[in-house]
Amino acid sequence: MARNKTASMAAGAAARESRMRGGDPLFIQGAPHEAARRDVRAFRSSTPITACVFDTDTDLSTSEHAYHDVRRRARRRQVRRFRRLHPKTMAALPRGVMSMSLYALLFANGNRVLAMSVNHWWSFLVPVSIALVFSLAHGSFTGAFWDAVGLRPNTIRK
Amino acid sequence: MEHAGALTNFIDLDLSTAAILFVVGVIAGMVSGFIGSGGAFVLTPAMMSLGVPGIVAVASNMAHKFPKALVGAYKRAKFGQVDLKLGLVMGASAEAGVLYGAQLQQNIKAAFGDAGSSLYVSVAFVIILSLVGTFVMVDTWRTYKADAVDLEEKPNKLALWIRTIRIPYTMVYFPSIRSEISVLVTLPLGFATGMLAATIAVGGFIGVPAMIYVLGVPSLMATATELVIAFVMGLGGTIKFSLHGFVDIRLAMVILAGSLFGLQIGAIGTTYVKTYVVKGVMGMIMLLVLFSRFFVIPVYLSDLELIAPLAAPTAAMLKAISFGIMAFALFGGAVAIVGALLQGMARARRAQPSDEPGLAASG
Repeated sequence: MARNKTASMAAGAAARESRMRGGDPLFIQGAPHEAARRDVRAFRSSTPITACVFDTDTDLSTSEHAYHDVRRRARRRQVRRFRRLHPKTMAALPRGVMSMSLYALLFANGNRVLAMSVNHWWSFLVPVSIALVFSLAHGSFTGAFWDAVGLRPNTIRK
Repeated sequence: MEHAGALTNFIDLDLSTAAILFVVGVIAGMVSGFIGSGGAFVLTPAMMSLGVPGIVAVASNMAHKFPKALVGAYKRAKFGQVDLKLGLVMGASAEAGVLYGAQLQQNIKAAFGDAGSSLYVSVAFVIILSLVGTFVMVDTWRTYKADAVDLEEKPNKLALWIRTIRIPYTMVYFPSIRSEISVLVTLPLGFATGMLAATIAVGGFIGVPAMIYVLGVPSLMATATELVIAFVMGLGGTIKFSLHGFVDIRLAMVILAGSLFGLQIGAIGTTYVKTYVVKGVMGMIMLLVLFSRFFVIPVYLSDLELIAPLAAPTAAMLKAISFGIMAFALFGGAVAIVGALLQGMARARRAQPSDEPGLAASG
């Protein structure tokens, strides 16, 4: 049973590939699993074909459907996996953009900021407020970043 | 106030210098999150190796430290490791130490210039690190050999004796030690912590061992509570130094960018390792940094003409050795922390299935 399923998948793959190459249809003799063993590998390197049809009871649509089912399941798994990461990645992205923008702003105006931070009695407010704003923005980003990466504290008692 | 020409205190910050500072910041943040002592003991010498005058390195470190300590304390408070009351009480006396230490730094710079300031910082590093580093390493070895690593840390005789001192109206209960002690006992500890912070930007080298060995605070809680103290005195120190134009906010923000990445690795690392690992890493880094500063002292002495002038190649060689040891300390510390974290994570993963009754029964 498992052997037949594998063979159907392989034959389905060959059929799909054939269509993609845009060639003529070819006919495979025998049951799908025999075809897989004997012929499928040879077809792949042969002239382009558009479809392969089995002359046994098993019809092409069955093997193609089996192939597409497997592909569909795999794709669904991928989408699920992407969705699991998605919210955390999406949470980190805007924070990263904000943090980078703040740094760009600071270095674009480096000399002006330095001059402001030394020339007046209130100058101490400049480094203190910059440090607080940057640490909140960048700290929030790094937290979201490591969370998205999957680094979490140990919850088991040592 | 020394505002005139204050911009001359600051170096040109090019891309390569910024990149080096960022990487150093990541490692320092990692160390800081792991051992709770600011990581500035790595950053101050590293900045000085890049040509930043000692006082500007210390001041800029303080400016990056207080918001970072705030973030670190918040993270570790979520793990239940922070004694906020003890942090604020010690932070208040540490603030006085910061103000005194900062004034001392400025007087030294005014009298002896940048070389004098750098010499003072380096000598302080060597003395403090040799004392505290050796003590921490001996204690780590003793703990490890006594096979007491899995047991709850017990206060030593000094800590137990201090709890017996009863001074009316000064007794305060601290959750981290589950006992009352007089706040007067914490005053000299806090002051020394603050003074060291203003001298080398690392108060934790006194604050953390003082909490562990004098007050009997468990080491994980001591390193976390130190972050509260670091925030309080870092804020005060930044205000004090920036009033005199010594804070280079560009440098401070570059190292903040790196260290906030590293900080969380370090903080999360503490939840996976045993306490002797934290102490061991702290001691190892302290001793390496001590040797790094030791090799560069003759250069500053020569600049101040306190010894016969060194030949240029000799001075360059000593600086290169100092920088090399510093780099080794940085990467050694980073490897030790990341290694301990990965091992702990692997152990936790292995331990997890056996904790689940269903799986244990079926297995």
